Parts: sequence; structure tokens; C-alpha cells
Amino acid sequence: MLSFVLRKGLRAGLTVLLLATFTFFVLRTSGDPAVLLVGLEAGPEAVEAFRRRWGLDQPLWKQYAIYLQQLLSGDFGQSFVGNRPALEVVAERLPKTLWLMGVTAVVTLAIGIPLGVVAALRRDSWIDRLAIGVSVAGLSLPNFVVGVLLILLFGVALMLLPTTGSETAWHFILPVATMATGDAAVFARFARSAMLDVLNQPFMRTASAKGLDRRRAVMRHAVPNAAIPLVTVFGLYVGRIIVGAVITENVFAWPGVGSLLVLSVETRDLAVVQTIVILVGVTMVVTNITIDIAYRWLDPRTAEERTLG
Amino acid sequence: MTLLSIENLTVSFDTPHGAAHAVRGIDLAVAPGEILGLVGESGSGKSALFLATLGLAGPRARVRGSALFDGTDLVGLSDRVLSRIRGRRVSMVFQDPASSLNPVMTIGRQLDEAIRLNRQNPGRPGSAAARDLLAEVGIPDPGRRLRSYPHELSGGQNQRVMIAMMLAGNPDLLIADEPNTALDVTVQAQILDLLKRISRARGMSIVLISHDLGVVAQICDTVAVMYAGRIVESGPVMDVFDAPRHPYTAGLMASRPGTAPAGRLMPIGGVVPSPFEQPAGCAFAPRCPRRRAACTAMPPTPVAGGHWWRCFNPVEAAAAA
Amino acid sequence: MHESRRSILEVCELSCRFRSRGLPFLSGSRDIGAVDGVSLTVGRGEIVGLVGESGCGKSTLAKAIVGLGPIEARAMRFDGTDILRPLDRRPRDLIRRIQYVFQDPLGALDPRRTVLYQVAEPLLIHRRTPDAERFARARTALRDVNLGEEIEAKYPHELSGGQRQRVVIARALVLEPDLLVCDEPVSALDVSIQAQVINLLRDLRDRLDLSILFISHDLAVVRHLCDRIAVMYLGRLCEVGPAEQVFGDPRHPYTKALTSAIPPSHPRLAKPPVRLPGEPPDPGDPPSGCRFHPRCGDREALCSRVVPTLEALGDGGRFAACHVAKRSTPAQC
Repeated sequence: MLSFVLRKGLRAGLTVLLLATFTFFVLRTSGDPAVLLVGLEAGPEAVEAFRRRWGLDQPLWKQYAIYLQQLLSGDFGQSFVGNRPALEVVAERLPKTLWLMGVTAVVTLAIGIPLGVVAALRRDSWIDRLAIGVSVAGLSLPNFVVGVLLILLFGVALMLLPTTGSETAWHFILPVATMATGDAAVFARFARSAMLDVLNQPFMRTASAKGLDRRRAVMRHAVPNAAIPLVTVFGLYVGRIIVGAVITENVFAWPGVGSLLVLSVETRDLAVVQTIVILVGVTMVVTNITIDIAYRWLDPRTAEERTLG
Repeated sequence: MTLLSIENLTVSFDTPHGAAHAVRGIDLAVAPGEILGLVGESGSGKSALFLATLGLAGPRARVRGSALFDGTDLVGLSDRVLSRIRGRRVSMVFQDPASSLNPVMTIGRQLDEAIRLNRQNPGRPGSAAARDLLAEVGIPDPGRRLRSYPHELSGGQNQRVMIAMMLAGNPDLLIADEPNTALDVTVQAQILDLLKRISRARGMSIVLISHDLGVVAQICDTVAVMYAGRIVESGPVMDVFDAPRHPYTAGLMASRPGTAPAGRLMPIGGVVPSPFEQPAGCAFAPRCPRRRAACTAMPPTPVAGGHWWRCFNPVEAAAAA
Repeated sequence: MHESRRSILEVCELSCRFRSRGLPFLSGSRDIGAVDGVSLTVGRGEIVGLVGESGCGKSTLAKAIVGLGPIEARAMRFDGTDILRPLDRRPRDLIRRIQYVFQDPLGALDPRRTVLYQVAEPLLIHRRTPDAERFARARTALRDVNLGEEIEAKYPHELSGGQRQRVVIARALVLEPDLLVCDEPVSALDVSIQAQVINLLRDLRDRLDLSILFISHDLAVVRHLCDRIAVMYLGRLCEVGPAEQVFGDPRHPYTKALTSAIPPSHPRLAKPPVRLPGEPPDPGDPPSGCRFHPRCGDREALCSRVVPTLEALGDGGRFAACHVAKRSTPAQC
């Protein structure tokens, strides 16, 4: 177990380092923030002064070394635009995004998984067909299309719900609905096939043979087994929901990290973009480790394989 | 006296191609403490018969007829009522022990569940009762095994665990569906031995479903031979093995190395009829070497009791012996 | 009966090891000896049965003979030619002469090709026959396995289990092999249909002088079909001899247990099986000395220390790898 944690930790650190390096070089080589921020009309002296101030006049490798050194000491750099620590800028926006993602995840799972389970239990019934139909529709519509459609319907035509901002609970409805439709459909599909797979296993027949009625057999024996493949899907979902949040926040002007990211890329606010990318990277790495651990906990067979090698 | 009395039972499955007839009218009686061997090849309906009767054959199964178990007709009971009979009065053991146990639960938890479900008064605390059961089915070091997962045990041990679990409710009848087919030869023999020992010790009846006549010869008291959803011959094992009267039973014995006389095996030509067809006469007639004109009609159901067969032109007793 | 015949296959001290990979740095990789020092011969026109329980290495041995899988051996000869090399480095004609029949006939057939095409295909691959003759040869092979013309245009899913297995055998026979290695060829079949395949194999031997290595866990079938039997336990041979003698008077304690487990032909002959304590050990960590000793009722101190070799018992072509059995046999000069 110790070696497992050790290996995972090393690999995770390396992943984040590679990510930070990649973002650093891509950002530095794809546009000049000084020109963009100071403006061409300000004159070469002003641009040069900006460069000197932020260390952009140094050779690239030196900038990189300084960046890494800062990063290791927990300093994520300064925002050019806000003229304060980038971490602070991001942290300010984070709660809004976490709320959006959290509520969306809960809604997605709460709709998708039960829908899939019920569809599997009543295979070929109207509810199963409906679930499959809805999930195909949900899968084939991209987030931003759903978002725009919802804005047009509920915001513009019916004028029932707010379409920008994040002040009240009402503001959550449209962004969450935008992000949850497609992903709930994905979960419904996976939950359905995982359940069907498990329901056909001989041990389900054993559960009935030993005296469990169908409801209890499903709850005690089918659900824990069907959860195993869903854990993998959840890992992929965390990546999807981050991308979804970036798009959705921009469509609905949600003041979170996603809209900050797009804004910062536009203004070449290097430190902020890098901070966000590292944050996302760390989230993904932590998710993957959590899922590995969850897997070992849910399925004793995988734990065995890994320890034996 | 009978424990289970099945009368004119039919089982069919709804499929997109129409009804598939698995069991086409069966009469069968199991006496208390008896070990009955139900023999047939794949597609004969031998497994579907009991799975459907106990409500384990899935939502597409249609069961008609009656199956009186200790005075209660099992046909048509709801899942909830049947679930109180399963495990407590009638238990079932299946072919593939490894996949018949829940892979993510310890042996101990699976046994405990069966004990708590089926005993109003467990008597001893759960784990002690589970240990007793494992000891009864011959698992060494039962205390340690309770904490194991099924993948950590061999096939034979898993089948023993399965049997222990099905004994938890003290059933009167155990249906063992090819309990040794997936196991190694030496383990097969041990599992049969165990079933016989438990049946005698507890006075529990067993229906042993198998494709292998040798297995029946090893432990059964009576035998019923199934073909295409019907019982074609039944009787005490000694009588049936001494003088098989139905041509199918005789054919099975002549085609099996071991029961066949030395020399050439006699395969049965032709194929099993499709479950979607409803032959008017004897289903075996198209493959039968003793077929006559009369065989296009259904042979009468003989009066049950003792050794009986369902055939217009049975093998002569002397010739068979 | 077949001793006088020249052997077509000679295997001398063959071993197959699989490397089990451990975690890097933390645990060393270890070798799992699936087959350990097995010597075996198959005579021309002889049917040799290889029996043993799951994990004993019988399938691994069969695959090694056909040229699949990693092997080490002192020697392996087929009709006098060295065949101690993998399949892709064997001469094409040698590949043709050793054919393999698997357990699952449906999996071994292409669902989208007709029977006749599949039986003719090996001829195309081996380029042995002019195009015009190919299908005629395939028809002959199908007739050899008692399948009629009505079957030629059918697809595998339209056939019964027994018919499929006979198609697989016909596909092997079309190349006119000298040795057929059959791995559990009847285990997936119903009893009444098994008999067709068993009879067929016997007829083919009689008619074509075919040699067969028949691998099975079904001892009743092996006893019926085979001339000689080799019994394997945990990667090693423990007894070899003429079928009737091995079954009628087993010498190795494991063979005794195995033969006692054969279901009886009649309830009157039913007897309690010899009980083997415990479970077969992990092939990755086999017991010292005789691999069977922890489960053996006759074991002595010697058995846990010294590996018994396969030695002749008398002069009837019988061999056993057992210290105790060897001693109880009168010494011969």
C-alpha cells in the first residue's frame, strides 16, 4: 500500500510539473502581453518598462527557472492586470465555480444514475426507451447549443429565469441545466449498461435463491457491483465538467474561474492563466488518485492484482 | 408421501420469435429425504423447470400447471411470497461457483446474510453460525475463510461455500443444478459425496440436475430422464440402469463411454427439436431407431409409480439387461 | 500393441516457464513452471491421452508441441526432424503435418464463411493444391468426418455442436496431417454428440493411420478412446502406460485418486472416491520433492526431499514417478 501511494504521488508530481512547463512555454511564445496591455500607441519606452518590471526582458530559460523557483515556494506570480497575486485573483473567483460545478455534479448524478438503474430494471419498457431516447438527444447536443437554446426559451421568450450573473438560487437553474443535460445522459447510459451487466450475473440468481426479494437483491448485490465501472466514468466526468464550466460560465456571464480564464487569455495575464491551468491539473491528478483508491476499496479483486503485480 | 409434487407443468419464454417452449408438461414427485437425478442434454428444459418454478427464470418466463410444495402451490406466487420459500424451504445450487458468489463481498458477509434472512432465531451469533456451516461442508479453517473473497478460493471451495449458504435456512429441498460440471474430476467426486452426506444427515431431499448419467449412478435414489421438455422415463436408479426402456435413455447409455458396452459408442443421430416447434407426437421420434407409425401421436402418460416410460415401442427389458 | 511402431513424436524433458512480473524494485519476478521436464512419445497410429486437472499444464504442453508458447527441452523431434522451435520458424510442411483442434468449435470457425470455404482454406494457405482440386479435397475431408454435401454451403451458426467440431476436424484433416493434437475436443458437446466425435477420431486413426494426442479431463472418454495414457499433476508426469492397465491398476497415488473419481457406469458399481486432502498447490510455488506429496496418503520422509523420476514398472510399458510405487514393484534385471 505504501509503495502504491509513493508511486502515485511521484507520478502525480511529474504530471503537474510537465503541465506547468508546457503552459509556460506555450503562453510565452504565442503573444506578447506587454504590447497588448500597454498598447502600441503608448510608445516603445512604456512597453520596455513593462517588460523590465515583470521580468519579461530576461531570456526565456531564465524566466522559466525563476518561475519554477517561485512555484516551489508557493508563489504563483503576479497578475499583470490586477497588479496583485494571481492566486488571490483566482481564489476570489473559485467559490462561484465550485458552487456551479458542485450543484451540477449533484444534479447530474441524481438524475443520470437513477434513470439508468430504473431503465435497466425495466428493460424494454417505455421508461427504458424514453431514457435511451433522452440520452441520445442529450449526448448529441453540445453544451453551448443547449445553453443558448435555454437562454432563448426561458430568458428571452418566456422571461422566467435570469440569464446572467450568479446572485440568487434562480441564477443557478439555467447554467446547471445546460451542463447537466448531456452528462446526466452519459451517466444514464453507463449506469444502465453496468446494471444490465450485473443483473445477468449468476450471483444475482444466487441472491434470489437464498431468499432475497428482487428489491433487496438489487440494492444489496447489484448496485455495489454496478458502481465499479461508474467510478471510472466519474473520473472522466470531472474533466468534462471543468471544460463544461468554462464554456457555460462564459455563456451565462457567471463570475467564476471559467470566465476569468477566457478573460485572462485574452489579456495575456500570464500568471493567472498559469495558476488556473495548474489548479485544473492538480484537480485531475487528485481525482485520478481518489478513483484508484475508490476502485481498490470497491473491488477486492483489483487490490489483489495490484499488490501481487 | 411427497414433498414436492409437480403436475402438468409447462414453462415457455417470450422471445421476439414467439414462445420458446422449454418445459412441455412435466409430472414429477420428490419424496422427503430422496435424491432424485434429473438427466437431460442441453435444451431439454431440465434447468428451466426448477428456475421457473422458484421464480428465478426472469420476467420472460411463463409457467403453467402446478407445483405443490408441502401443500402450497408455487406456481403463480408473487416474488415476495416466493422469496420467503426460497432459501428457507427450497434452496438452489448452481453450476459455476465462482460467478455465483458476489465478487465484492466477503464469504462471511454472504453467509451471514443467508443466516439472518432465513432464521428467525439464529441461536448463535452470526459468525459462529457461519463457521458451523463452513465446517459442515468441509472447509478447513472456517474462521479465516469468512474474511476471504470468492476470488481467493478455489472452485471446489467456492462450491462448498455456495452449498453452506444454501443450507443456512435448513431447507427441505435442495435443487443442485449441475453442481460439479465446472469443477475438476477429483473435486467433482468430493462435491457429490458431500451432497449425499448432507442429504442423509439432515434428511433433506435433493434434486440433482445433470447431463451425466454417471453422476446419477453415483449418488441418486431415483432418476428422471428428460428429453425436449418432457420426462420420457423415470424410476429407481437400479431399475432404470438395469433395464432402460425408453429408446432415448438406452441411447444415452450406449453413447456414453463408461456406461456403454466396450467397443464402439452408439451416438444418437439427428438433432434436438427446436423449442419453437410443438411436435404432435413423441418428440424423440425423428431420431428414434424404434420409431413406428403410432409415434406421430403422443404416447400416453403412464400411471406414475415405480419404473415408468413414455413410449409406444419400448426397448425389451431382457434385451436391455 | 503399438510399442513396435516407430514413434512419430518424441518429446524429451520439455519445460515451459512463464515469467510472472512483480512490481519493479519491490519484488523480484519469478518463474512459473507450467510444465516441468516432461518426456513423452506418440507412436504412429497411436492415440495417447493426456489427462490431469485444470492448471496441471496439459494444454500448455499441447501448445508447445504445436509450436505455440515458450519452451525449453532437451529435444523434441517429429518423425525424426528437430521441431524444437516456435511455429513461425518451422518449415511449412512441418506445420502442415501437425494439426491442432481446439475445445470450442464455434470460436475456431469464421462465422461469415461457408463450411466448404473454411475447410478448403488451409490448402490455399499452404499452396499445396491446384485451385481446381481444392474444393474436391475439402469435400473428401468433409466426407471423412461423415458430413454430407448438404452441409457445404452452410455457415457455422447453422450447424449443431457435433457438426461444428467435425468441421474443425475436417479442416485439420484436409492438410493430411500425421499428428492431430486435440485439446478437450468433446468437452463442450452433449453426451450423445460426443460419441460421434470420439468414434470419428478412432475411425480416422484406423483408416488414415493418424496419430492423436488427446487432451481431456474426462477420464471415461480417455479410457474409451486412448491406447496409452499420460497423467499429469502440477506440470509433471506422474504415470504413463497402456490405458486399460493405468485405469485398471493405477500405481501412482494421484492416478488412484483420479480413476476412483470416474463416475460409475452403474449404481451398483458406485463407491466412495479416494479423498484428496487440500487443494492443488500454486504452480508458481510447487512443493519440494514429489509435487504431490502434501496431498498423498502414502507419503514417506523421502517424498518431500527427493524428486521422483519417471521409471519403468515391470516391462509392460508402464512408468510411474513415485518412490513408493517403484519399491513395491519387483525389480527386473
